[in-house]
Amino acid sequence: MKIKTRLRYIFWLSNVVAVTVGFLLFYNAQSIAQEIGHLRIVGTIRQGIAEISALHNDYLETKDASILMRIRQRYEGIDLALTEALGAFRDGPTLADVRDISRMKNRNAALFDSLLKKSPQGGAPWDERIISDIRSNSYTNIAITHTMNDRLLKRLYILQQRMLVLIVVFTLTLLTGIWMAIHIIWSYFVKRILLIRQGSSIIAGGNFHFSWSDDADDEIGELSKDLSAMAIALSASYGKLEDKVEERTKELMKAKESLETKVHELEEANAKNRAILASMDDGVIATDKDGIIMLVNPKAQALLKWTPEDVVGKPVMSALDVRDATGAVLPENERPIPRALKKQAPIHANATYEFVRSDGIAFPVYVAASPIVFDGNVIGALEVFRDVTEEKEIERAKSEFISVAAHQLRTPAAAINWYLERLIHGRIGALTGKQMDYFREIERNNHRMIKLVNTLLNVSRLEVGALKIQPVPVDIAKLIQKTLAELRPMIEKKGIKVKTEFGKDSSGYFDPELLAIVTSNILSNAVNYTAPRGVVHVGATRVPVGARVGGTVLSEDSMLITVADTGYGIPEREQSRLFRKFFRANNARRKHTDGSGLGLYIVKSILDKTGGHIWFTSAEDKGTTFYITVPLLAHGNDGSLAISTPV
Amino acid sequence: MAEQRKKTVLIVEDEPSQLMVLRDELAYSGFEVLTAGSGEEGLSIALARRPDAILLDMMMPYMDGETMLLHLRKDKEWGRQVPVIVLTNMIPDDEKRMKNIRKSGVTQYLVKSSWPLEAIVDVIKRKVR
Repeated sequence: MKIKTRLRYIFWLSNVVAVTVGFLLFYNAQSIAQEIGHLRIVGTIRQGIAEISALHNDYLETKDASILMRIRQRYEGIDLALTEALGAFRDGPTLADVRDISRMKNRNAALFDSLLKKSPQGGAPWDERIISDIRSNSYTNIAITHTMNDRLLKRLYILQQRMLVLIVVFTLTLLTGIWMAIHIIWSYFVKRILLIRQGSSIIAGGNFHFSWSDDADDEIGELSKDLSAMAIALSASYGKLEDKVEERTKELMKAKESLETKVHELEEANAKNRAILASMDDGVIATDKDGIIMLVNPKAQALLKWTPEDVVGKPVMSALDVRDATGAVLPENERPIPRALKKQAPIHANATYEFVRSDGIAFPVYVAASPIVFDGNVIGALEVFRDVTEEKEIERAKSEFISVAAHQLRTPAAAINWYLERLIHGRIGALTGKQMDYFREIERNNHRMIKLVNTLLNVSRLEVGALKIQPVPVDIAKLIQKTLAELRPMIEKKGIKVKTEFGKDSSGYFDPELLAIVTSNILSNAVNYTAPRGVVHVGATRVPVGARVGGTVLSEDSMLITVADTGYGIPEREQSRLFRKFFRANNARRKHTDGSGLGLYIVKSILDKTGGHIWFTSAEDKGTTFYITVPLLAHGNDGSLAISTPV
Repeated sequence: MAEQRKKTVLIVEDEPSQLMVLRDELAYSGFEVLTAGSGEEGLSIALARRPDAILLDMMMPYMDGETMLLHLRKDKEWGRQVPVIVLTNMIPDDEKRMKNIRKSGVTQYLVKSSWPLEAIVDVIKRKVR
């Protein structure tokens, strides 16, 4: 049954017991009170009787009639008291007392009557018989009252005992009640709760296999059942969990194994790559797409005196100092890695750069950079470089050698020139025609040799990268005119018609020396490789970006120079090799033995370096047209060779 | 009416072959010609005789043309302003070199193999005026 119900039972039970016992006590107390009341009445009667006796004695002595009045009052009084006593005693279980009181009352009444009869108001003396009646009545009454008193006291004693018993019973009942209450609380509540607590602490400790039964119908029982059920459920789910964990662990172990295998494979591949990088004789710097250094191979570390910790994670722009050949710091947008990233294609540095080692020493390098593409996205860039100190040294030595050699070659050639000049001008005496011819031939060959030496010097300077470009304002038209003037002897000799056509504005910023080489070579080619009475058209004009010229679309605003001749043309088979060093087409070789094969090579090299272009159209025996563009915004290194050229 | 004094030109050149032809042409053109076969000789003759112009070769042993010129230009009274025309076959490859040469006070820099004698004489004539 439910706790509340049980409690209610206990409550009512204890109420009933308490009420019962209380009622009994009350009843007992009331009985005691009653008897004490009786005692009082008996006491009053006794007192009355005593008074009457006294009065009787008084009267007997004094024969006072007023006393008779008082006696009469007393008898009435006693009668009342006895009547009252009767009433009181009748209520109680004291039959004997009632009898006695009745007798007393009757006797008293009888006596009273007789007294009244025998005692007139005048106060006749009582006779002996009355006096003895009075005395015997008195004695009897007193005896009765004594008896009544005894009886009363006995009854009171009994009642008192009963009271004591009741109190003991009450106390025992109370104690029993308390004990029972405690017992009930203990066994019905506390013990079960302690059991529950014990069980739950075991479960909390992790042992789910403990259970107990408590089949009682009340809330504690339900709690027990629930806890039991919880324990079972926990046990079950723990079991399930354990199974799951085991399963998962197995899976994980498998995954781990396969990962380990993969890792091992990757490490192997990585080690191989590392070996490749380590064995490369070129330095490699790899960055991410923001230019942060990710990798530096051993050769790069050795060349730059870097340790990986110094530079990995830093931007390559700040970690690596790059200079151009003059020693000036290279601006960021010209550095290979940003260029490769921007262009998203490989970049070869077309000039020699210098890298600066961690100890501040610079060394020349050839650099190439390319973007790293993964999955179609540019994820970084790669810079590969080689220390070319030795090559540069060799080049410098070569350059110096050539410079000195050229000087050495030119010196005697110059001397020969001057001697010839004086001879030909007749300063050493008049010459015959034939002598003059011979001297002129010598002069011509000498000039050719000097020209060759100069060309060779230019070629070597070009190859070494020592040609400096300095743009100044130059009038192309004027330059072309000047070149044509130099070629006048040949033009007139061959009867070639030269037409010029210049645009409105034929000036721009060019390096005059280099441009002179270009015009000189192209124009002299046109004149030399055109048959007598041929035509050479020369034009120079500005053209805007996007214009279509000779089959090519221009990529920027340029100055366009066209030289068209009606000469021997270039055979189609040989056109692809036209700009190669020392190349001479077969028909040209036959017609004009003097060429070195270097002219167009130089022209192309110069134009390449200054951002210009050259292309041509040609048909054998019909003619050739050369197109040359020079960008209007020339940008080259500075440095000038401001050497005067003869006017 | 006094004859206009002949202009004097000092040629400083160590190769006799070149020296001879230059001297001949200059004399033919009406100059008084002084010659020196080395840098030191050139310097001392120049300071002593104070020619109107100097033709200077660059490549000479011991004291080369550049050094001689530097010393010459130190002479505040006269050496500083005398026209010096460098006649050489050397074309300096790098700009630094050229700058230095310019700094040392060259009036004009002629490459031998490009300049005929007549043209050289014209230059001198212009510079001594």
